[in-house]
Amino acid sequence: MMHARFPMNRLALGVSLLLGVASAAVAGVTDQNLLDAGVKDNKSVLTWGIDYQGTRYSPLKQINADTIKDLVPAWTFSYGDEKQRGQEAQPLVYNGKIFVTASYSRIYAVDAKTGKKLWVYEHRLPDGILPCCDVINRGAALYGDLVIYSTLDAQLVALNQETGKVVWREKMDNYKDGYSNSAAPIVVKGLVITGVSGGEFGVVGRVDARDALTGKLVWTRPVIEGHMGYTFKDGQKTEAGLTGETGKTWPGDLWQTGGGATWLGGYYDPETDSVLIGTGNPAPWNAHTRPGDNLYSASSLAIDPSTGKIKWHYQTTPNDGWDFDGVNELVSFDLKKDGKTIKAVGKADRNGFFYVLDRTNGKLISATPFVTKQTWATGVDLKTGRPIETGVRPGDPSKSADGKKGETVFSAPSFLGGKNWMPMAYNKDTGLFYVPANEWGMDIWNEPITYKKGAAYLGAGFNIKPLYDDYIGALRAIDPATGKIVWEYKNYSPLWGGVLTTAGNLVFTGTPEGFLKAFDAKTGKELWSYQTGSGVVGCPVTWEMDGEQYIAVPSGWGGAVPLWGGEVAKRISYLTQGGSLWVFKLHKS
Amino acid sequence: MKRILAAAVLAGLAVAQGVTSASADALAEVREKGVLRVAVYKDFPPYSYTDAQGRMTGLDVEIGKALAGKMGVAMALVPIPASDESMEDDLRNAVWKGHYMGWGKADVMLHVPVNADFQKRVDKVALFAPYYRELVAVAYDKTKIPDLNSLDVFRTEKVGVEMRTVADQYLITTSNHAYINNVRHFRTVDAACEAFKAGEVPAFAAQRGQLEHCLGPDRSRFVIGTVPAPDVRVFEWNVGMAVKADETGLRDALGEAMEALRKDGSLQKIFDRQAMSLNTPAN
Repeated sequence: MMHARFPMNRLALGVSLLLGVASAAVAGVTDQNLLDAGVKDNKSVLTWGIDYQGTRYSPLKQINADTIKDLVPAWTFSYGDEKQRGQEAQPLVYNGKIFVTASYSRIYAVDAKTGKKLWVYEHRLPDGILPCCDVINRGAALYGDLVIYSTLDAQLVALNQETGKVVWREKMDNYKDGYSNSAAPIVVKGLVITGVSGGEFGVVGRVDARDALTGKLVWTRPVIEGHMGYTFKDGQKTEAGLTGETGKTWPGDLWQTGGGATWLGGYYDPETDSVLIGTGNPAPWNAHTRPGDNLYSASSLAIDPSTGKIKWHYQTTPNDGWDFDGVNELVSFDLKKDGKTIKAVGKADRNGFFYVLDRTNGKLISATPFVTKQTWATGVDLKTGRPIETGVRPGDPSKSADGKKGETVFSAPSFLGGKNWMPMAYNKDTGLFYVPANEWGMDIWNEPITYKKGAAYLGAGFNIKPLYDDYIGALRAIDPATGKIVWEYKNYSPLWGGVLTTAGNLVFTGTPEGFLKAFDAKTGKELWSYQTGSGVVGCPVTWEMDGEQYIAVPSGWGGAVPLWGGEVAKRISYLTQGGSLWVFKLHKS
Repeated sequence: MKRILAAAVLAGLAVAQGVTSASADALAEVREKGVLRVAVYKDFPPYSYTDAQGRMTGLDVEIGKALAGKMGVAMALVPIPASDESMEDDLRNAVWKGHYMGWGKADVMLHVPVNADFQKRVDKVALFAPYYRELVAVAYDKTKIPDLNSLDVFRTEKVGVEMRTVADQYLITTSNHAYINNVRHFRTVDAACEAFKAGEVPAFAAQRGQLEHCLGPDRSRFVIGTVPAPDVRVFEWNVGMAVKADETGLRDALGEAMEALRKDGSLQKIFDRQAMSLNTPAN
């Protein structure tokens, strides 16, 4: 059990000691609250994923397929100033307040009933930082009376929920070495658990756990084999074993700077007591420089939240050569198949396969395509768990040292993935996953000579292309037992926002065109939509307040697509930026 | 979220963000304000870096100062972080657009490769006035490697490189990965230099200017030679500068200033002070 270690909680601690109630040591959000979040408690939204397992399912059903025609805005809140770029956050709701992070590492507390701004904290970012992919933030975590979020200069900041004042602030790593952060942290058993973001400059992915009340590091676990994990106690750093086996799947010393950034963070499965987290692509990007599987890049990991030990791993893209990050979220669910119930986990990977794993051991159960075209593999061997590669890989840039432009290879999905960061949802009533997918590929070729930091470099050129004239985005309902796509909604521009599903037989998601949309969870029929004024790339949430069900979603176009979209960018060039929070409820006449 | 691939096709970006080319006369503005904003890379020894006193120094800083001096204005340095993708990003941030975080945007950027192929790919900027020719070379310890006439030396001997450089890329891939286990990667060129001087690696491959600066006065123990790999064009390039494509007045003024520095011997003196060879740019 956590102890209260900061002044704000002294009173609560005193009272609980007086009453002899040991478990009440944490005022505000407790471990039990987090376990109940989205499952038993629907009056709050306490964690990334809405519940620990990340299903983004709410049992609320006042808003349902029949009543949704009366869904109207309750209020809207503008983030203000000039910092109108991508708003990818999932809001949190607790104790009458909404906590929402915004572009440029800002966080707002807003009165949930009125939309009145209570406070804002604008993290002061250093000059000259170079975030790779817009200035987004994906959300915060709640624990005790703290709200905790990460910043573009790789800090973790804990603020008092009431006042917005900084309680602790810890450096996750040095932004000058290329580290950054934008994912929502989670809190498990009093530990705030985070990954790291970073580009090509030698960042090595890892998972860190800190005491949520003080920010002090408790354990750190690198995800690339050969690196040592550590635990920390009373200022003592203790070795906690190597990740994997040094040099087993990496040549030379390349594991030392091997990538695998855990930039999307993870979810927690209380039933198996595992943090489930994906790892990014290996570095350097050119697969020809690192023959081998390059473990545990582009993988799914189960980690013991108390010690940081890796319980199991499953690699989705061995020796990745396409930037098929394996960071995508791992959503725990009960798979009903052949009359049995299996503790499973679902993952829609950048590489275009929807994986179902046994979450007790990481064994592959099925892998089926959720996009229409995959040039790199024809399937996944269920016995070995390895992809069946076609051999279509980007060329070796060192072969262009002779000065000739290499052959162009068309590769699908593109490096932005069959699915990117935007979280899917799982509805236990329909038994379906709702996956925001994109249909695009890329031309990729070796450049004769490119330049980096004023010097020659052997690089590759690429151009992302839509696969179809009429749509890129596709919200797909997938049956995890069969891999079948039950229904789909096609969107002209790429889908880049999170999904919410409810017991009201509804699925919500946003579009870059500015709409928040609701679909019939069983049939995919579009039931409702609302124009928010800028692209919706955030994550919708729902909760109950004073007997009424509310929906909230951030609006504000941005993220990686306008920066990296190639030909796709032409389809979205007319979209305008924004920055606001929209809240909806049913109209009462 | 990351992308791996260098050399993004920027046409789409320009469309997406509605870039227009303002035709303000940058030269007139420089003269009026009496300040030339010069972009150089941060943390790029020995060309532009922070010294022990916390001041920006190095070859490019000296050249920027001398150029501004010739034009009769002061220099304002704009140090920029290098993109980990490609120089197209740096040119966008430093020359024609600025970074969306609010930094960057100078009148001229130094240390830009100048050649016709690259110019075709970066049509938002004008590349001009190469001031020297850089080449990738190998420094080695004569007592351990008597003669570096073939890369096959690295089948048995270790070679240090700064990670994610062309020397790194080439040495770990060429000859079917024959040398991959003997290539030692360092995060910075300074770290590679220290390891080389300490004898941890008998060879060190980097840009010649970096090798010369690393070895400094005790160069006699070592040899700096070319990479023994014939016909590899990526090992040499001209280094010059870039302004926005339509700023022809500024381009001409800077070009004349550079020519004057070359003619009056100031450029040679700057290279001498940095203990670097001034190799004449080639066509």
